[in-house]
Amino acid sequence: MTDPSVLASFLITYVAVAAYVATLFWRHRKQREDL
Amino acid sequence: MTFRKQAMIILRRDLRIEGRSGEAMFITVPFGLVALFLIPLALPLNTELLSTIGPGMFWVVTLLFGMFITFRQSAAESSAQKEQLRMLGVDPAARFTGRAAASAMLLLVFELIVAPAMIVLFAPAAVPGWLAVTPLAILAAAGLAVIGTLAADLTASLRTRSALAPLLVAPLSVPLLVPAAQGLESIRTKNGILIPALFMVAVVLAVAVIGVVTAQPLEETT
Amino acid sequence: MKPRYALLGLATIGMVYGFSWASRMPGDAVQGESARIISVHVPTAWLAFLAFGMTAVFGIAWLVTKRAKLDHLAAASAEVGVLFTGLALVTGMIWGKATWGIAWDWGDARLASTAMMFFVYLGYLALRRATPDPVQRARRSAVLGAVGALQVPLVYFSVNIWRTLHQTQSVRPDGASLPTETLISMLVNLAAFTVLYLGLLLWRADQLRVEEARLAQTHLTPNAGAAVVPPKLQPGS
Repeated sequence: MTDPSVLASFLITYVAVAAYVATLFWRHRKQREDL
Repeated sequence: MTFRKQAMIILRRDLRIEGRSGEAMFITVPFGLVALFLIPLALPLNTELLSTIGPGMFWVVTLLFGMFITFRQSAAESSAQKEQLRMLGVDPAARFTGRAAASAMLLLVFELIVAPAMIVLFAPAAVPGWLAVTPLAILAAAGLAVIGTLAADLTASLRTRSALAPLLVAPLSVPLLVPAAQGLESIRTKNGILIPALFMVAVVLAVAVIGVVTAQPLEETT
Repeated sequence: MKPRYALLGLATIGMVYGFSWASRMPGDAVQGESARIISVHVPTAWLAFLAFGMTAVFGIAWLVTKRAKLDHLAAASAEVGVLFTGLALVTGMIWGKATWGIAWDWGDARLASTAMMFFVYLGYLALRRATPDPVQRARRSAVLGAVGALQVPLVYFSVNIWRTLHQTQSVRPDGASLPTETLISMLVNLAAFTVLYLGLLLWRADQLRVEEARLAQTHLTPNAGAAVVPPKLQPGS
């Protein structure tokens, strides 16, 4: 698991998914505010 | 008035308008020729390299620059014109077919001018029986015409149309590019162009069917 | 609790479990440690294509029923699909570089069709962003989704027929000849990512529904602004 390419792949995947979830959450908050 | 007659009238109208405005001939064709010039200027001075990539560059230029023929101003109709056609009882599918046919013819002219230019500028190695590539060129023109006309309908009256329509067409035209570019190779290896041609026919028919079927729903008053 | 949060929670647990399996699976005899990458590459690639297919299906369903919810699901699927397609391409390139030394194999039909799908997605989202009217937007994206769903497999076939003839298709494991732990790792991650897709899909689709409802309320009709007219300047004045 310490292979750099393996680490990179997993990290990029998880970070990208987390980032997308974060944007969903941010949009969710904005929609709540606009009420 | 039959579907065929309506489509023919639209076709003739489009070609007549193009004859008057000259957008395809005097703007898009020179644009394609300029592109053909830019490529060797960006590459190292190597005639062998150029003769290898020449045919491929013809197809790429035809697709990337020829597509603007399908978006030409003379083919675009304002919503008022569409409304008028609809009230006259013109089938939207006939309009689509006529416009695509006109674009296909203009694209053939585009190819007829760009091909010799490519031969002169890139000097590709002669392949015996290279004229057999002609059906592929006709199919490429037809395919690009239907894809482009559909994309033009999808982006009608949008402000970002001039960049969006090309973006839509480019990836969708890859199934035309690959078999077409294969043409000379197939001739050289004596495999014949039947399979690439049939593949392209399938692509053209499939997109044409979608275009004809969705012409009515896409016709809107907005 | 809304189903989307439950799904995302489940997905998180699944992905942690999947990660543990990915650490546990043996390295490949040929590829070495980089074989582990299939634990993220295969799921993201599978989801990329699933999301793309669902975009087309939802779009066609909208054309038939005209129910707005289907359009929102189509758009949400496209957004999530772009994410997974990008990840599939990136992890695929990392894997290719690590294992065979080349990041991009032009003879690989799967790579070519995934890349083309990525661009069709981008065009789809750009078209949606450019069309202000919701019904027009739904209709046009549905048609584009359908055409895209047709063309992407054709890209795959065309590259497969004419560009992989002389190349040995790079051995990417997709058969039952894999060691058990590898198979389990792949399947666990596949399940986890699929649940993730469903959670993200439902959440995003709901957000789009709210967005559209809000916009419909603002009555974007020309009124006062139309009274402002540029002055007519005479030449030479």
